[in-house]
Amino acid sequence: MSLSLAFLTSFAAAPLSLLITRLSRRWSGGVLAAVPAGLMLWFASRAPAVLRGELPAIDMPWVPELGLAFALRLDGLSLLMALLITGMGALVFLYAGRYLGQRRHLSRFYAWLFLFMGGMLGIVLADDALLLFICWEVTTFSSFILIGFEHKEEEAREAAQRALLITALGGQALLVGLVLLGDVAGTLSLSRMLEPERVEQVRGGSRYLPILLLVLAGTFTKSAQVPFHTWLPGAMTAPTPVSAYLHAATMVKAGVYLLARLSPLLGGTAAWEWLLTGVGAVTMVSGALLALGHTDFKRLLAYATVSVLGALVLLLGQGTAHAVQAMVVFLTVHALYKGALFLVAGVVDHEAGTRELPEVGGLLRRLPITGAAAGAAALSMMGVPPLFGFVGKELVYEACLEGPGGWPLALTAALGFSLMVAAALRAGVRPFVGGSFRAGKPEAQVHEAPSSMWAGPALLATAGLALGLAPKALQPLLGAAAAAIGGAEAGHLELKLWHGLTPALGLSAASLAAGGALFAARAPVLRGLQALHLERWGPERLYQASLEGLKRLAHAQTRVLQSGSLRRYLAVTLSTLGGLLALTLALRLRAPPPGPPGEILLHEAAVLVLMLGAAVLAVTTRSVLTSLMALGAVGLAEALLYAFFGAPDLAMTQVVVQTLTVILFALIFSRFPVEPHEERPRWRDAPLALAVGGLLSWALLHVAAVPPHTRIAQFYATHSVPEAHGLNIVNVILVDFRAFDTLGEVTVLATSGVGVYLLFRTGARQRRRT
Amino acid sequence: MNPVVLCTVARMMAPVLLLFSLVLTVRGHDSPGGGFVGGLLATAAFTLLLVAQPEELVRRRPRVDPTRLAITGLLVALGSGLPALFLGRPFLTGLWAQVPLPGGGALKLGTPQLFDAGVYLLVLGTAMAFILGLLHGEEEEAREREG
Repeated sequence: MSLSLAFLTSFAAAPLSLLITRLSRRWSGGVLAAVPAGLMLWFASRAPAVLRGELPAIDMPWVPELGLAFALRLDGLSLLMALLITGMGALVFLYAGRYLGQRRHLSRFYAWLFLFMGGMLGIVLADDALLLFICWEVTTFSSFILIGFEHKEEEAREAAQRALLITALGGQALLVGLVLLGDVAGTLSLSRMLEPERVEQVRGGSRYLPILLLVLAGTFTKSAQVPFHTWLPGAMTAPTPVSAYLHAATMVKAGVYLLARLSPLLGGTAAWEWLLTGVGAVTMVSGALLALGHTDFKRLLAYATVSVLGALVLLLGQGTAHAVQAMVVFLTVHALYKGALFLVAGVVDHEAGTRELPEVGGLLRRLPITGAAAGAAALSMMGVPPLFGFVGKELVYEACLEGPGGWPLALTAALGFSLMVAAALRAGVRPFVGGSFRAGKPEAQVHEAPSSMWAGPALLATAGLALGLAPKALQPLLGAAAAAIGGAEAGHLELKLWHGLTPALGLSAASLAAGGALFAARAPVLRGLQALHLERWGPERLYQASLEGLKRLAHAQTRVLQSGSLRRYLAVTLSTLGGLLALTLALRLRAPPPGPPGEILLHEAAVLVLMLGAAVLAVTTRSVLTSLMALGAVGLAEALLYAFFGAPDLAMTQVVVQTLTVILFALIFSRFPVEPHEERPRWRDAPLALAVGGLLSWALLHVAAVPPHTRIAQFYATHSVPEAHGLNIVNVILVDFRAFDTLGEVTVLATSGVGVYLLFRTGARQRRRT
Repeated sequence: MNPVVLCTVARMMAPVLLLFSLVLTVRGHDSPGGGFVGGLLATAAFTLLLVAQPEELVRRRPRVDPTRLAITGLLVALGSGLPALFLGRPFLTGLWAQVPLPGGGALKLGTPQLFDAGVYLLVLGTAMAFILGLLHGEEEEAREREG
């Protein structure tokens, strides 16, 4: 039970943030950080049980009709992710309180951050595929809001829209994939899918490839793999704490997490291996290349994140026990150093007033603690011993060398890492020790950030160093996480700093040397990269072109359909109706319509003649008012017909509706003058009117010829009094038997009423202004 | 038509129409009627007043915002479905009670009647929103022409 409590806490904390921020803006960050910190302690306290193999789990039905269950499960992988999410969350809340202290809508920011955290915890804890998807979409949406948090800036809005379009489209593909998967496997429970016979069914089934492609579409978009990566650099318009939290440490790992979770089920096939390894390798190298070419601190880090995500996917593609271990370790390594570097970027931005790397230099004197943290994090990113990054990189090389990819893959990884080393030197080292300060702000005014802002990077960087020196501390946890993906064999993880003189060490040294050389000769390289404008090619072009196409399509169809002319609207609506009717009649009914049922009595004939006369008057008269009255007469005569045929409820409603319609139209005509172009010859409308009217009559004659469903009518007639205590069957159906339908209909009605009222009021206000 | 005649008739008829709309709503469960037609009839009554005495509208804006009325109606209709939930039955299940009357006989009360009352308010509010929106616009334009 407490597992679900842990999951729901952050959702409950979202409204709390409104209260806390009102009480004290200054301390709000610190106070709210207690929520994720407390959650982290709780998850940590579960660790001994999880490592023993006693996995806390709950399983409650939620919407049994859909097979949706509220099922949570905490295994090694979930635990590792949950600790990262809550731990980073605590630091980010603490940091944001100061970073955004003076900003408007701070409480809203916290609330969205809490919603995001809840969604993210849901992803890693969910044991039900649909629950996981729901949480997946929660993170997509909160990410959209947080990227566009500075919503008055066009750039932020554009970036938020792009992130939403790409990740939400991927999310739709994922939903279809998961539903298909659940259908083939016969369960939506993620843990039960892994039962051997179900795995057989999925892998051997004909729907394996569609499922794989759909799931990959979802995970690749979320985890920013080429060619879907373009949203991540744009997302850097988000406030820095968001970039550190969502777009480095947690959300972008959701795709990797799901791939890892599903790898025992979907992995191990040739399609899996080639797709993941290929896309991962391309992403790794191109991400690092793009990172090197950027001068904006955060964008550089974002591209570097793309590169790392590529490496993680690549490792999952290899799928060996060692690759899984390397994936888990490298994921943790990256969360620590990238979180730190993003927070450092925020400090530099906050204190020096710029994010342009060439403008800052020698900051170590001004920002000693931040600078030290940045240095340690950058060294971890480069993979220099004795930092944790070195341990992770060694494992990656070993896994590449041992796996099916062999030397070619290891060399590709080395190329990516070399580029990354140069990027790390540019971002984490040079601004602090080399170069000169050239930002707009006088250098003397740059001070060390308040402790709540340097605490995060310092803590993360220290952890990177401590874990490098004593990697055994995390060995059980990381081993359990690897075991959750790759089984018992992957669980035998041994972390150590010194692996001996291995090919991996050679590759590590070579990439460090190459990266260092690249950094030393960076000036021409950077010029070349910037001249190429790599980020504008390929996927970026594709995205821009498809967005433009979509907009043009929307404009074109709006011009045609929403012309502003009532006549056009009616013509479009009626021709659609007529066309569909004609199609149905032509396809389904070849027989000529039967004659009218029963004979027509004299008084009925009289009413019909009256209707016909009024209708002819309505279309021929020149006066709008006469036309309206004539239409009213048609309606009232119709009410008479209802009364003749034993439908008093209908007749009564028809009378009142008709009366109100005439009044409404009179009011409308008194407000909106008949425009000149509406006065073209009326006979042009006759063909359409006659055709649609004729088709409707034809269809109605067919309908009347079908014997009514006596069983349903009988049900209502016999059950109306005993079960619903009403003699008027029409009303009983409306308010009792089908009350849910009525509720839906009246909700639509009320919504339209509110909408119309608001339209009138804003219209009046605009007219007053002009 | 002579405005004086229209005005007099409207003043006499509007209360009758309103009363009849309530009758229609209450009796709807057993005889022709119901919340929908009742709400429409009430709208017709108010509209008659407004059309007969437009100056009344200028002098006294309606005290109740029609959209608020519509939302209230929606909430009432939604609320009528809740008691069933507390009894563990599906949402909107009709619940009935017989209240004995002093002169013998019994009055039956049920949640579907509450639902219908909600529909009545909602339809009245929505239809009045349309009509008031149009009338206000007209009145404002008239004021602009004068001023």
